[in-house]
Order: sequence, then structure tokens, then C-alpha cells
Amino acid sequence: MSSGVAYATVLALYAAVLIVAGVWTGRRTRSASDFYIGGRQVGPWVTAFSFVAAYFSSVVIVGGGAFGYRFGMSTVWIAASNVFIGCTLAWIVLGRRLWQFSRRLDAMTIPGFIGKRYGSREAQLFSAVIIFLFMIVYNVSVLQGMGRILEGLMGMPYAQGILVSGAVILIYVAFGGYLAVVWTSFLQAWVMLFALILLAVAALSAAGGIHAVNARLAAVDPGLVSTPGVWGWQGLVSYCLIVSLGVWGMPQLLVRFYSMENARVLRLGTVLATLGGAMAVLPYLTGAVSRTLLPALENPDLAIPTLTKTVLNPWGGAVFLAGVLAAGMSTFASVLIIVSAAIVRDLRRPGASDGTDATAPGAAARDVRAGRLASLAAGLVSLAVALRPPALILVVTAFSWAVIASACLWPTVLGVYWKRGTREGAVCSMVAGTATALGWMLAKSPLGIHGFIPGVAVALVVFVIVSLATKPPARELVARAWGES
Amino acid sequence: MAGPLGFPWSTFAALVVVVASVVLAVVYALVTGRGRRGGDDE
Repeated sequence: MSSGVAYATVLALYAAVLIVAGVWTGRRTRSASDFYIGGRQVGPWVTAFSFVAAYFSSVVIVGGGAFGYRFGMSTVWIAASNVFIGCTLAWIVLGRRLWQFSRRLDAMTIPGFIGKRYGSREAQLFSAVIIFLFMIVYNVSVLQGMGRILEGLMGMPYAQGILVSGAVILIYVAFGGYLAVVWTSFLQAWVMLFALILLAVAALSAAGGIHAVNARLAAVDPGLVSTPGVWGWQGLVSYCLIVSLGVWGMPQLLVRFYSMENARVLRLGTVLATLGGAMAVLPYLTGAVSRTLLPALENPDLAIPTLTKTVLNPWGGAVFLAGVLAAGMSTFASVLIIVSAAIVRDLRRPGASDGTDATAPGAAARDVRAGRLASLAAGLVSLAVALRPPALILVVTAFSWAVIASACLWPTVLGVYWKRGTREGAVCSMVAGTATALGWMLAKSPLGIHGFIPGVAVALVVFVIVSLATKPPARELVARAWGES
Repeated sequence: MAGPLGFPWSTFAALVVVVASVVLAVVYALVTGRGRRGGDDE
């Protein structure tokens, strides 16, 4: 049987499962709370694995493999930082607090939380605009990743690849909202895990085991088996921080904490998200192994697609392709919901609080309809931009993460830990962080440091100084947020 | 020089961080489960 038939069969079945999941969850979506945060009724397995699936996009699998190919075994440290800082610490430090605060403040979105925590419509609007603009940019990079992998493995033209995968996602997100996103992401996390294990085992077996891999890598360059090795500390540490600490300011991941049913979800979810996050080791390790099997690749981005064709049979390749698409689709869908929420909940209705008009006749149905239309519109804009991609995939991804994290990280983290944080501090921090990250990257990243690091550092300093220099927040505001009656 | 399980020592240390994260998550779940059971945020 030809590989084309295997790929088409597996992908058609996979797309059908996703669409059925979207239609099924769509029947349970009756209010804005259902559409954006699953009615705060999501359990530990689905919350944790959908967090992991939204975290690791196709960019991590293809781009992570490329980093492993280029820089060797030291890149496993990126996976370690993903697990420790991006999963375990994020759940422990932010999970319980954000869950509690979002309930007390009745917030459904990150801008909604920021606006209510600081009593500032300006802070809510600014964060919503940043999320709206740069999440669409992020989605473009995710679509690019899916288009390139379909092109590389199936020979499908790039434009056709992103249109097909984009259409499947738009259908299930528009029908099912957040519930469709988390349930399909839960399934997709397992597909990703299975696909990554399949490729890693096949690659290690073909290379003769880990001892042989290390010996061959060391023969090419001893820096490929040491840390920081050929990459250097500056590059390795910068990248580890972007892809792990950056999570603490990314709305599509933080919103998982809003939707949890109870504290038990948080406890079990912390363990499950950490276990699921450990899958991040596989693309970097497999990329390093591929260097020994495919030593003459001109473009490291081709390491994972070429390795797949080399070590897996057509059915195995089809399953791996489904895993990569699962990673892209789950991230794209999660971001669509966030952009839709930014439009409908934060930008469209100035002065409206989350859910305050839920009792008005027909309001719930109108809210769901608006959410569906907004997610469709955001998806179509992303597709249109991705047809003529602006830059390389990883460049676009790191650019959007840097700006969003610089704007949202400290108002969120300090918003649940520091009572003295003020609206002026939050607004100035967001503006200064965004301007620094953008300016640094437009200046072509001086000193080889990515814009994320100065953006987040400036945002922290400005937040603390301006908060201490301005009038403390009103006692009632703090009491409501901290649950002090 | 190869370390445990055939990995270079520095790579093995990264894998230890991954395992330690799992242990930390389990300890956190056990400790908060015991301390919060029946609490007002359940």
C-alpha cells in the first residue's frame, strides 16, 4: 500500500473524530461561561492534558527536533525547563491562586481578570488588544508549522495543507467552544505522546542505541554531547526562559486554571500536567539522534520529517503526522478561543463585566453566537495571513510569545500575590514591557539576547516602582480579590 | 564520557530535573490534599 493511502486514511479518520467531538460538545454549550471556560466544570485529566497539548505546538516538535539536530544533547535542558518551570511550578505557583481569584472576581478571561483585579478598564483594554494582535500572529506560526509538515510528508501544497487543517479546527471550535477545545486537546495529547514515543524508539533502534548515538555525536563534535556545548550558555539559558517562564503570561494556558471544577482538579492536575509535560524530552532527544542517521541535512527543520520517512513505515509515518497535526491543532484551537474572548468579552462591550448580563432574555444564546462568529473571524484572518507567511516559523513564534508575556506576566503573577500592586503599576508595566520587547526585537536583538528577557525584566521593575510610588489600591478591591470579607 | 543509562552526565542531570519535577508535583498534591481536605476552597 502506498504511503499516500496510509496518510489519507489516518488523517480522514482523525479529522472525523475531531469534528464529532466538536458537534458533541457543542450541544453542551449554552452560555458564554460554557463557551469560554467550560462552565468551570472541567476535570483533572482533561484540564492537565489539554494544558500540555496547548503548550506543545507543532513548532516544538518540528523546531525542537531541529534544535536537537543542530545543538545536540544539551537541548534536553529545554525540555527540563518546560517540565519544571512551565508545568510543575506554573501549576503550583499560579494554579490555585488564579482559580480562586477568577471565581471571586467572576472573570472569564485574562484581560477580564487584570481589569477587575486592578479596577482598570485601561489595563483590560490594553491587554486585550495585545492578546488579540499577537495571538493571531502566534496562530499564523502554528498554521505555518502544520502546512510545512503536510508539505514535507505528504507532498500536499502548502496553501492546501493550511486550508484543510484550518477548516477542520474552525468547524469544531465554532461548534463546541472551550469544551470542544479541551476535549479534542485531551485526545490530541495522547496522539502526540504515542507519535513521539513511536518515532523516538524507531530512531534509537535504527541508530544502534543511546551509547552508539553519543559516540557518533562526539565524533562529529564533542560539543554535541556536552552542556552548553556548541550552543553556549547565552543561547541555551535564553531559550529555556522564553519557552518555560513565558508560559506564566500566556492566556491560552492560564485560562485552564479558570475552568477547573474544584481544588482536587488542581492537585491531581499538577501531577498529570508534569507527567504529560515530560513528553517534551522526546523531540529534542530524537532531533539529536537524527544527526547520527541523517548527517548531511542542509536545513535542520527537515530533521524530523526526513527522519519519519527514513525510520517509520507508511502507517507509522501517518500516525506521526497525525501527532504533529494534533500538536498544531490543539494550540491553534486554544488560541482561537482566547482571541474570540478578547474580542467579545473584553473589547466589544466596554463596561460590561463577565457574565453580568447572563440573565437577560436571549443573552446566553447571543453570547455563544458572538463567540462562534468571533472565533471564525479570528481563524479566517490567521489563515489569510498564513497563506503568505511573514517570516520563519520559530521567529514568528518567539516574537509573539515575547510581546504577550512582557505585557501579561507580571500583572497576572503579582496580581495574585502582591496586594500593593496598583492600576498605575499594571498599566505602566504592560506598556513598558511591550515597548521594550518590541523595540529590542526591532533593533535585531542586541548582544544576542532575545527581546523576551529585557521585556519581562523592564516590566517587573516598572510594575514595582510605579506601584510603590502611587496610592495603594482601594481596600474593597483588595478584600474582594483576596476573599477577605 | 557516558553517564548513567548511556546518556552524557549533563544530559542525565536534565533528566533528573524532569523526574524531580514529578516527585515535587506528587508531594505537592499529597500535602495540599491533606491540609485542604474539607476546606472552604474544595
